[in-house]
Amino acid sequence: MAREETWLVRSAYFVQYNWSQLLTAGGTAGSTVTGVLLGIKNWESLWTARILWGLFVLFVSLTLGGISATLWRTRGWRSLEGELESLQGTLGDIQQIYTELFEGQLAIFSGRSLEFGHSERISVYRHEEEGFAMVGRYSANPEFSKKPGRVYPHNEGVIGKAWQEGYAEVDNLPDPESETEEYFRCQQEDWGIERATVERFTMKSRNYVAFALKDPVFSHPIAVIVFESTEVGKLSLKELELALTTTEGQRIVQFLISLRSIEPRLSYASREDL
Amino acid sequence: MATLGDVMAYLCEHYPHKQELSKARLAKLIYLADWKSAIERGEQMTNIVWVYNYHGPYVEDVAQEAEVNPAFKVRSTYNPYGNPKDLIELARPQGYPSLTEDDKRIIDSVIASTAEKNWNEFIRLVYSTYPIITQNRFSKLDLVELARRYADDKAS
Repeated sequence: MAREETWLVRSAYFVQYNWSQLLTAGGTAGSTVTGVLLGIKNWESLWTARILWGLFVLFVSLTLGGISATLWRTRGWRSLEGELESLQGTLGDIQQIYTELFEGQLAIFSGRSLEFGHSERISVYRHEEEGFAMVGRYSANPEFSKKPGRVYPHNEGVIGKAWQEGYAEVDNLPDPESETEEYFRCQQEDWGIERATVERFTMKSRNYVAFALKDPVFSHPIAVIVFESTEVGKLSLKELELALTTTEGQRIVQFLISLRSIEPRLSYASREDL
Repeated sequence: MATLGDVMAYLCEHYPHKQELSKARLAKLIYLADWKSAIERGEQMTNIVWVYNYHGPYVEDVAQEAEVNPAFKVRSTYNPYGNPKDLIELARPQGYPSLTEDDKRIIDSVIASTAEKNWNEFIRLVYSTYPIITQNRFSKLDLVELARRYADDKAS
Protein backbone atom coordinates (compact mmCIF):
# COMPACT_ATOMS: atom_id res chain seq x y z
CA MET A 1 0.00 0.00 0.00
CA ALA A 2 2.76 2.36 0.99
CA ARG A 3 4.64 1.53 -2.21
CA GLU A 4 1.53 2.27 -4.26
CA GLU A 5 1.07 5.60 -2.50
CA THR A 6 4.70 6.48 -3.21
CA TRP A 7 4.23 5.62 -6.86
CA LEU A 8 1.06 7.68 -7.05
CA VAL A 9 2.65 10.64 -5.29
CA ARG A 10 5.67 10.49 -7.60
CA SER A 11 3.40 10.34 -10.64
CA ALA A 12 1.42 13.30 -9.37
CA TYR A 13 4.62 15.32 -8.88
CA PHE A 14 5.84 14.29 -12.35
CA VAL A 15 2.59 15.50 -13.90
CA GLN A 16 2.66 18.69 -11.84
CA TYR A 17 6.18 19.62 -13.00
CA ASN A 18 5.88 18.37 -16.60
CA TRP A 19 2.25 18.90 -17.61
CA SER A 20 3.05 21.40 -20.36
CA GLN A 21 5.64 19.10 -21.95
CA LEU A 22 3.22 16.17 -21.65
CA LEU A 23 0.55 18.30 -23.31
CA THR A 24 2.92 19.14 -26.16
CA ALA A 25 3.97 15.51 -26.60
CA GLY A 26 0.37 14.22 -26.53
CA GLY A 27 -0.84 16.92 -28.89
CA THR A 28 2.01 16.24 -31.33
CA ALA A 29 1.39 12.48 -31.29
CA GLY A 30 -2.38 12.92 -31.69
CA SER A 31 -2.12 15.44 -34.50
CA THR A 32 0.40 13.22 -36.29
CA VAL A 33 -1.86 10.15 -36.09
CA THR A 34 -5.03 12.01 -37.13
CA GLY A 35 -3.11 13.82 -39.87
CA VAL A 36 -1.84 10.52 -41.25
CA LEU A 37 -5.32 8.99 -41.08
CA LEU A 38 -6.74 11.97 -42.95
CA GLY A 39 -4.00 11.83 -45.54
CA ILE A 40 -3.84 8.16 -46.40
CA LYS A 41 -7.53 7.60 -47.03
CA ASN A 42 -10.40 9.48 -48.57
CA TRP A 43 -13.03 8.88 -45.90
CA GLU A 44 -16.48 8.22 -47.41
CA SER A 45 -18.32 8.75 -44.16
CA LEU A 46 -18.76 12.49 -43.69
CA TRP A 47 -19.05 12.11 -39.89
CA THR A 48 -15.85 10.08 -39.65
CA ALA A 49 -13.99 12.74 -41.64
CA ARG A 50 -15.52 15.51 -39.50
CA ILE A 51 -14.52 13.71 -36.27
CA LEU A 52 -10.97 13.18 -37.57
CA TRP A 53 -10.66 16.84 -38.62
CA GLY A 54 -12.06 17.88 -35.24
CA LEU A 55 -9.53 15.70 -33.43
CA PHE A 56 -6.71 17.00 -35.66
CA VAL A 57 -7.59 20.63 -34.85
CA LEU A 58 -7.92 19.73 -31.15
CA PHE A 59 -4.50 18.01 -31.05
CA VAL A 60 -2.81 20.87 -32.94
CA SER A 61 -4.38 23.30 -30.44
CA LEU A 62 -3.09 21.19 -27.53
CA THR A 63 0.40 21.19 -29.07
CA LEU A 64 0.40 24.97 -29.48
CA GLY A 65 -1.03 25.39 -25.97
CA GLY A 66 1.66 23.07 -24.55
CA ILE A 67 4.45 24.96 -26.31
CA SER A 68 3.10 28.32 -25.09
CA ALA A 69 2.76 27.02 -21.54
CA THR A 70 6.30 25.59 -21.60
CA LEU A 71 7.71 28.92 -22.81
CA TRP A 72 5.74 30.82 -20.16
CA ARG A 73 6.84 28.48 -17.38
CA THR A 74 10.48 28.63 -18.51
CA ARG A 75 10.29 32.40 -18.18
CA GLY A 76 9.09 31.80 -14.62
CA TRP A 77 12.10 29.55 -13.99
CA ARG A 78 14.43 32.30 -15.16
CA SER A 79 12.75 34.57 -12.65
CA LEU A 80 13.32 31.91 -9.97
CA GLU A 81 16.99 31.74 -10.96
CA GLY A 82 17.13 35.50 -10.43
CA GLU A 83 15.53 35.09 -7.01
CA LEU A 84 18.08 32.39 -6.18
CA GLU A 85 20.90 34.75 -7.14
CA SER A 86 19.40 37.42 -4.91
CA LEU A 87 19.02 34.95 -2.03
CA GLN A 88 22.68 34.05 -2.46
CA GLY A 89 23.41 37.77 -2.04
CA THR A 90 21.38 37.76 1.17
CA LEU A 91 23.31 34.72 2.36
CA GLY A 92 26.44 36.67 1.54
CA ASP A 93 25.32 39.36 3.97
CA ILE A 94 24.85 36.72 6.65
CA GLN A 95 28.38 35.50 5.92
CA GLN A 96 29.68 39.05 6.43
CA ILE A 97 28.08 39.43 9.83
CA TYR A 98 29.09 35.96 11.06
CA THR A 99 31.66 37.47 13.41
CA GLU A 100 29.15 39.95 14.83
CA LEU A 101 26.64 37.15 15.40
CA PHE A 102 29.25 35.07 17.20
CA GLU A 103 30.51 37.98 19.27
CA GLY A 104 26.89 38.66 20.21
CA GLN A 105 26.79 35.15 21.69
CA LEU A 106 30.00 35.86 23.62
CA ALA A 107 28.59 39.19 24.85
CA ILE A 108 25.51 37.44 26.27
CA PHE A 109 27.72 34.79 27.88
CA SER A 110 30.04 37.46 29.30
CA GLY A 111 27.41 39.85 30.62
CA ARG A 112 24.47 37.65 31.56
CA SER A 113 26.10 34.42 32.74
CA LEU A 114 29.51 35.48 33.99
CA GLU A 115 28.89 39.13 34.92
CA PHE A 116 32.26 40.11 33.47
CA GLY A 117 33.30 43.76 33.63
CA HIS A 118 35.80 45.99 31.83
CA SER A 119 38.81 43.98 33.07
CA GLU A 120 37.76 40.67 31.48
CA ARG A 121 37.62 39.22 28.01
CA ILE A 122 36.43 36.05 26.24
CA SER A 123 38.07 34.83 22.99
CA VAL A 124 37.46 31.72 20.89
CA TYR A 125 40.12 30.26 18.62
CA ARG A 126 39.97 27.64 15.88
CA HIS A 127 42.80 25.18 15.37
CA GLU A 128 44.14 25.74 11.85
CA GLU A 129 47.14 24.32 10.05
CA GLU A 130 48.90 27.68 10.44
CA GLY A 131 48.09 28.04 14.16
CA PHE A 132 45.16 29.16 16.30
CA ALA A 133 43.04 31.73 14.47
CA MET A 134 40.55 33.85 16.38
CA VAL A 135 36.89 33.31 15.54
CA GLY A 136 35.45 35.93 17.87
CA ARG A 137 36.20 37.98 20.93
CA TYR A 138 34.22 40.06 23.39
CA SER A 139 35.07 42.44 26.19
CA ALA A 140 33.06 45.30 27.65
CA ASN A 141 36.30 47.24 27.15
CA PRO A 142 36.53 48.10 23.40
CA GLU A 143 40.35 48.23 23.52
CA PHE A 144 40.43 44.61 24.67
CA SER A 145 38.02 43.54 21.90
CA LYS A 146 40.49 44.26 19.11
CA LYS A 147 41.79 41.36 17.01
CA PRO A 148 45.26 40.04 17.85
CA GLY A 149 46.61 40.77 14.35
CA ARG A 150 48.13 37.31 13.92
CA VAL A 151 47.52 33.60 14.48
CA TYR A 152 49.03 31.93 17.55
CA PRO A 153 51.42 28.97 17.21
CA HIS A 154 50.11 25.55 18.21
CA ASN A 155 52.48 25.19 21.16
CA GLU A 156 52.15 28.70 22.59
CA GLY A 157 50.38 29.96 25.73
CA VAL A 158 47.26 28.67 27.42
CA ILE A 159 45.57 28.11 24.03
CA GLY A 160 48.03 25.39 23.01
CA LYS A 161 47.91 23.74 26.44
CA ALA A 162 44.09 23.74 26.61
CA TRP A 163 43.90 22.24 23.10
CA GLN A 164 46.22 19.41 24.07
CA GLU A 165 45.17 18.79 27.68
CA GLY A 166 41.56 19.97 27.79
CA TYR A 167 42.14 23.00 29.98
CA ALA A 168 44.79 25.43 31.23
CA GLU A 169 44.90 27.91 34.09
CA VAL A 170 47.24 30.62 35.34
CA ASP A 171 46.35 32.99 38.14
CA ASN A 172 49.52 34.56 39.37
CA LEU A 173 51.27 36.45 36.60
CA PRO A 174 53.28 39.46 37.86
CA ASP A 175 51.85 42.95 37.52
CA PRO A 176 52.87 44.15 34.02
CA GLU A 177 52.95 47.76 35.25
CA SER A 178 55.12 47.41 38.37
CA GLU A 179 56.92 44.14 37.52
CA THR A 180 57.27 44.51 33.79
CA GLU A 181 60.42 42.45 33.28
CA GLU A 182 59.14 39.66 35.51
CA TYR A 183 55.87 39.65 33.53
CA PHE A 184 57.76 39.23 30.23
CA ARG A 185 59.96 36.52 31.74
CA CYS A 186 56.98 34.47 32.98
CA GLN A 187 55.17 34.77 29.65
CA GLN A 188 58.30 33.59 27.82
CA GLU A 189 59.62 30.89 30.17
CA ASP A 190 56.34 29.43 31.44
CA TRP A 191 54.14 29.88 28.38
CA GLY A 192 56.56 30.13 25.46
CA ILE A 193 55.40 33.56 24.29
CA GLU A 194 58.15 35.80 22.92
CA ARG A 195 58.67 39.23 24.45
CA ALA A 196 57.96 40.98 21.13
CA THR A 197 54.59 39.23 20.96
CA VAL A 198 53.70 40.11 24.57
CA GLU A 199 54.63 43.74 23.95
CA ARG A 200 51.95 43.86 21.23
CA PHE A 201 49.22 42.54 23.57
CA THR A 202 46.47 45.15 23.88
CA MET A 203 45.42 43.38 27.09
CA LYS A 204 48.16 42.32 29.47
CA SER A 205 46.29 39.75 31.52
CA ARG A 206 47.38 38.25 34.83
CA ASN A 207 44.69 35.61 35.12
CA TYR A 208 43.86 33.09 32.35
CA VAL A 209 41.52 30.09 32.17
CA ALA A 210 41.13 28.18 28.89
CA PHE A 211 39.15 25.12 27.83
CA ALA A 212 39.00 23.00 24.73
CA LEU A 213 35.45 23.19 23.34
CA LYS A 214 34.41 19.70 22.34
CA ASP A 215 32.00 18.34 19.79
CA PRO A 216 29.07 17.08 21.91
CA VAL A 217 28.66 13.95 19.80
CA PHE A 218 32.22 12.91 18.94
CA SER A 219 33.97 14.54 21.94
CA HIS A 220 36.94 15.74 19.90
CA PRO A 221 38.12 19.34 20.41
CA ILE A 222 36.78 21.82 17.86
CA ALA A 223 38.03 25.11 19.32
CA VAL A 224 39.54 26.74 22.41
CA ILE A 225 37.80 29.32 24.60
CA VAL A 226 40.00 31.64 26.65
CA PHE A 227 38.82 33.72 29.62
CA GLU A 228 41.17 36.50 30.74
CA SER A 229 41.34 39.17 33.36
CA THR A 230 43.85 41.89 34.16
CA GLU A 231 43.10 41.24 37.84
CA VAL A 232 44.47 38.35 39.88
CA GLY A 233 41.99 35.86 41.39
CA LYS A 234 39.09 37.03 39.26
CA LEU A 235 38.48 33.79 37.34
CA SER A 236 37.46 30.47 38.85
CA LEU A 237 38.21 27.35 36.83
CA LYS A 238 35.35 25.40 38.41
CA GLU A 239 32.77 28.15 37.96
CA LEU A 240 33.77 28.72 34.34
CA GLU A 241 33.72 25.00 33.62
CA LEU A 242 30.21 24.82 35.07
CA ALA A 243 29.13 27.85 33.05
CA LEU A 244 30.34 26.18 29.86
CA THR A 245 28.13 23.16 30.50
CA THR A 246 25.00 25.30 30.87
CA THR A 247 22.78 26.65 28.13
CA GLU A 248 24.90 29.72 27.29
CA GLY A 249 28.14 27.78 26.99
CA GLN A 250 26.54 25.03 24.95
CA ARG A 251 24.97 27.66 22.69
CA ILE A 252 28.47 28.80 21.72
CA VAL A 253 29.49 25.24 20.83
CA GLN A 254 26.27 24.74 18.88
CA PHE A 255 26.84 28.02 17.01
CA LEU A 256 30.30 26.88 15.92
CA ILE A 257 28.99 23.51 14.77
CA SER A 258 25.78 24.56 13.03
CA LEU A 259 27.24 27.58 11.20
CA ARG A 260 30.57 26.04 10.25
CA SER A 261 29.59 26.06 6.57
CA ILE A 262 29.72 29.87 6.50
CA GLU A 263 32.47 30.41 9.08
CA PRO A 264 35.55 32.15 7.68
CA ARG A 265 38.48 29.73 8.06
CA LEU A 266 42.12 30.26 7.11
CA SER A 267 42.16 26.71 5.75
CA TYR A 268 39.35 27.59 3.30
CA ALA A 269 41.59 30.25 1.72
CA SER A 270 44.87 28.38 2.02
CA ARG A 271 43.36 25.49 0.02
CA GLU A 272 43.23 27.96 -2.87
CA ASP A 273 46.75 29.23 -2.12
CA LEU A 274 45.26 32.50 -0.91
CA MET B 1 53.31 47.52 -11.28
CA ALA B 2 50.13 46.82 -13.24
CA THR B 3 47.61 49.57 -13.81
CA LEU B 4 44.17 49.09 -12.30
CA GLY B 5 42.55 49.55 -15.71
CA ASP B 6 44.59 46.71 -17.23
CA VAL B 7 43.79 44.33 -14.35
CA MET B 8 40.09 45.18 -14.64
CA ALA B 9 40.15 44.75 -18.43
CA TYR B 10 41.85 41.35 -18.15
CA LEU B 11 39.28 40.18 -15.59
CA CYS B 12 36.34 41.50 -17.65
CA GLU B 13 37.62 39.68 -20.72
CA HIS B 14 38.60 36.39 -19.09
CA TYR B 15 36.10 35.92 -16.25
CA PRO B 16 33.71 33.26 -17.57
CA HIS B 17 30.50 34.50 -15.90
CA LYS B 18 30.35 38.11 -17.04
CA GLN B 19 26.84 38.66 -15.67
CA GLU B 20 28.36 38.24 -12.17
CA LEU B 21 30.93 41.02 -12.51
CA SER B 22 29.34 43.58 -10.23
CA LYS B 23 31.46 46.38 -8.77
CA ALA B 24 31.65 44.48 -5.46
CA ARG B 25 32.73 41.18 -7.02
CA LEU B 26 35.27 42.83 -9.33
CA ALA B 27 36.80 44.78 -6.43
CA LYS B 28 37.14 41.61 -4.35
CA LEU B 29 38.68 39.70 -7.27
CA ILE B 30 41.32 42.43 -7.54
CA TYR B 31 41.85 42.23 -3.75
CA LEU B 32 42.48 38.48 -4.10
CA ALA B 33 44.92 39.10 -6.97
CA ASP B 34 46.76 41.71 -4.88
CA TRP B 35 46.83 39.35 -1.87
CA LYS B 36 48.10 36.41 -3.92
CA SER B 37 50.74 38.65 -5.47
CA ALA B 38 51.82 39.81 -1.99
CA ILE B 39 52.10 36.19 -0.79
CA GLU B 40 54.03 34.94 -3.82
CA ARG B 41 56.11 37.96 -4.84
CA GLY B 42 56.21 40.25 -1.82
CA GLU B 43 54.44 43.07 -3.68
CA GLN B 44 50.90 43.96 -4.67
CA MET B 45 49.88 43.78 -8.31
CA THR B 46 48.16 47.18 -8.18
CA ASN B 47 48.88 50.22 -6.04
CA ILE B 48 45.47 50.18 -4.34
CA VAL B 49 45.51 50.96 -0.62
CA TRP B 50 43.06 48.37 0.65
CA VAL B 51 40.70 49.10 3.52
CA TYR B 52 38.71 46.57 5.51
CA ASN B 53 35.36 48.33 5.49
CA TYR B 54 31.92 47.14 6.52
CA HIS B 55 31.64 44.82 3.51
CA GLY B 56 35.13 43.34 3.67
CA PRO B 57 38.03 44.60 1.56
CA TYR B 58 36.59 47.35 -0.60
CA VAL B 59 37.76 50.55 -2.18
CA GLU B 60 36.02 53.01 -4.48
CA ASP B 61 38.97 52.96 -6.93
CA VAL B 62 37.45 50.15 -9.00
CA ALA B 63 34.05 51.82 -9.38
CA GLN B 64 35.73 55.16 -10.19
CA GLU B 65 38.00 53.56 -12.81
CA ALA B 66 34.93 52.00 -14.44
CA GLU B 67 33.24 55.41 -14.55
CA VAL B 68 36.12 57.46 -15.96
CA ASN B 69 37.96 54.96 -18.17
CA PRO B 70 36.27 54.76 -21.62
CA ALA B 71 37.40 51.15 -21.92
CA PHE B 72 34.57 50.21 -19.53
CA LYS B 73 30.85 50.66 -19.37
CA VAL B 74 28.67 50.33 -16.33
CA ARG B 75 25.38 48.61 -17.04
CA SER B 76 22.70 49.17 -14.44
CA THR B 77 20.31 46.30 -13.91
CA TYR B 78 17.91 45.27 -11.21
CA ASN B 79 17.59 42.10 -9.23
CA PRO B 80 14.11 40.51 -8.87
CA TYR B 81 13.44 42.60 -5.76
CA GLY B 82 14.06 45.83 -7.59
CA ASN B 83 17.40 46.58 -5.99
CA PRO B 84 19.87 48.21 -8.39
CA LYS B 85 22.91 46.21 -9.46
CA ASP B 86 25.77 47.67 -11.53
CA LEU B 87 27.67 45.35 -13.84
CA ILE B 88 31.07 46.38 -15.19
CA GLU B 89 31.70 45.41 -18.79
CA LEU B 90 34.44 45.98 -21.31
CA ALA B 91 33.25 48.63 -23.79
CA ARG B 92 35.81 47.56 -26.36
CA PRO B 93 38.56 44.93 -26.29
CA GLN B 94 41.97 46.37 -25.50
CA GLY B 95 45.40 45.11 -24.65
CA TYR B 96 46.89 44.96 -21.19
CA PRO B 97 50.33 46.50 -21.73
CA SER B 98 51.18 46.82 -18.05
CA LEU B 99 50.47 43.15 -17.23
CA THR B 100 53.39 40.74 -17.19
CA GLU B 101 52.97 37.03 -17.87
CA ASP B 102 53.32 36.45 -14.13
CA ASP B 103 50.54 38.97 -13.43
CA LYS B 104 48.30 37.09 -15.88
CA ARG B 105 49.15 33.77 -14.22
CA ILE B 106 48.11 35.14 -10.84
CA ILE B 107 44.85 36.60 -12.17
CA ASP B 108 44.10 33.32 -14.01
CA SER B 109 44.66 31.45 -10.75
CA VAL B 110 42.25 33.78 -8.90
CA ILE B 111 39.67 33.29 -11.66
CA ALA B 112 40.07 29.50 -11.42
CA SER B 113 39.63 29.62 -7.63
CA THR B 114 36.49 31.75 -7.72
CA ALA B 115 34.60 31.36 -10.99
CA GLU B 116 32.57 28.32 -9.95
CA LYS B 117 31.83 29.64 -6.46
CA ASN B 118 28.43 31.13 -5.74
CA TRP B 119 28.31 34.48 -3.95
CA ASN B 120 28.19 32.87 -0.52
CA GLU B 121 31.24 30.69 -1.16
CA PHE B 122 33.05 33.57 -2.84
CA ILE B 123 32.52 35.92 0.11
CA ARG B 124 33.53 33.15 2.52
CA LEU B 125 36.78 32.78 0.61
CA VAL B 126 37.50 36.52 0.80
CA TYR B 127 36.71 36.58 4.53
CA SER B 128 38.93 33.55 5.11
CA THR B 129 42.07 35.29 3.88
CA TYR B 130 44.68 36.12 6.53
CA PRO B 131 44.27 39.93 6.38
CA ILE B 132 40.53 39.76 7.05
CA ILE B 133 40.85 37.02 9.69
CA THR B 134 43.50 38.89 11.66
CA GLN B 135 42.86 42.60 11.13
CA ASN B 136 40.29 44.92 12.63
CA ARG B 137 37.42 46.35 10.67
CA PHE B 138 37.97 49.86 9.25
CA SER B 139 41.75 49.41 9.27
CA LYS B 140 44.07 49.81 6.29
CA LEU B 141 45.40 46.49 5.00
CA ASP B 142 49.12 46.50 4.35
CA LEU B 143 49.03 43.33 2.25
CA VAL B 144 52.81 43.09 1.82
CA GLU B 145 53.47 43.30 5.56
CA LEU B 146 50.58 40.92 6.29
CA ALA B 147 51.90 38.39 3.76
CA ARG B 148 55.26 38.51 5.56
CA ARG B 149 53.53 37.94 8.91
CA TYR B 150 51.43 35.14 7.41
CA ALA B 151 54.63 33.38 6.29
CA ASP B 152 56.15 33.86 9.76
CA ASP B 153 53.05 32.47 11.48
CA LYS B 154 53.07 29.43 9.21
CA ALA B 155 56.75 28.84 9.86
CA SER B 156 56.54 29.14 13.67
